[in-house]
Amino acid sequence: MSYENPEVPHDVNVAPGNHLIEFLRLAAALVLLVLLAAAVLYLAGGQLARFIPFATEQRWVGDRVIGVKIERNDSDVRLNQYLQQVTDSLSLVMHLPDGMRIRVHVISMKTPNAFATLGGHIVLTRELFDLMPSENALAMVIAHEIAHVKHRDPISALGGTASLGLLLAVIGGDASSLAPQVAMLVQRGYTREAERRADLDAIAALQARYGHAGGAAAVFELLAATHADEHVGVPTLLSTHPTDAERIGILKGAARDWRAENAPLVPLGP
Amino acid sequence: MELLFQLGIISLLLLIGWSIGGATERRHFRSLVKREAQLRDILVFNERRPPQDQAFGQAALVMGSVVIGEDYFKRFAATLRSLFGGTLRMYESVMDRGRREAIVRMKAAARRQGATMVFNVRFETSSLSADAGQRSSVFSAEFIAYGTALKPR
Repeated sequence: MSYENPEVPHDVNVAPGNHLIEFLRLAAALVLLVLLAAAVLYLAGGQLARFIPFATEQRWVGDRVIGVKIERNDSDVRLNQYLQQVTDSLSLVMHLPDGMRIRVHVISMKTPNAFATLGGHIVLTRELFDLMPSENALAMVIAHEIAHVKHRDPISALGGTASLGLLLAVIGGDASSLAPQVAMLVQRGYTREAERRADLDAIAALQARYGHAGGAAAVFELLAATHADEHVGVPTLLSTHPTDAERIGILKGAARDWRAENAPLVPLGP
Repeated sequence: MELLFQLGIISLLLLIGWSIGGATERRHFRSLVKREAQLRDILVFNERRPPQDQAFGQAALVMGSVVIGEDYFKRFAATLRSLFGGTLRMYESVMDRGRREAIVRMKAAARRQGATMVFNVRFETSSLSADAGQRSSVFSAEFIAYGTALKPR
């Protein structure tokens, strides 16, 4: 009997193929799946959060304004009263659900900004207020934020972010550092719809309150100018808000029939 | 920002693992081919009985063992692969290297004895990290090949 050992074959026990390509394909598939799951969870969590009664939301939050520190300043009392008065008059024409009361706050911050947060609180920066050319422009900003509260957008964002945190915790990510960033990513396309809706509601409110939507476009013309100064060109698809040009177009369209001679803008001021 | 930083570090580790780990593996395979050719005259079989028609003067136990570790890229890619299932090709090459290296070392031991054949060759593989009780971050496996070396009379 004769014995022999053949040469060791290399390609029998090691499957051929590029590991790098396989890795990239797997990584892409994983990223896609996670993003898909994140989007589904964010939207589902956001929609579910809208079912939380506003009274419950208000009970959770109380008088606190989530996200900012309000400094009580005596010199702002008149300004606050004035803003609250504008807010209340707009709330009236916007047909808010029973028990939904909007409270407005001013903070001193160096960027022109306004936002709605949990519990029916609206926050304006002093910088933005100082930029406003007329009460109509101010009312546009406030009505836009009231519309967010009316449509429960703040609690919806919270619900979406919380569901995302859950997903990240399950897959072992560092939820506290990752969730807000993933939330931002998913939020963008979705929030644009909410912004557009809030714009349309605000225009309707202005028409109901002042009889026309004139002066509203000025808000975004001013903001567009500040954006241009800062040289921040945010691509349309990535931007949370519809582009300034888009909004100015919509607002100018809404104020097409308005003539300043017949219905002058209301001057700003407490 | 922090996320980008973390991703950057992971990408860097992956790149190091892929490039250096890959180069190490290719060099190991080249070395294996060379040494396998040098030791081809030592025949190995898993047959339990030595051939009856040949005369042998001496028998001795010979053994070859090696521990091979993974690289960062392989571990990462295998983790991804185990999410979806399928053959873990990145580890197949590690296992193949281990088995072939163990055989080569056993043959080298047999040559030192002056043997020409090794019979009743057996393989054993064990994962070093599996014994750690908890999941270790390092995968490494030990390969042992042993058999009865036969020296001609």
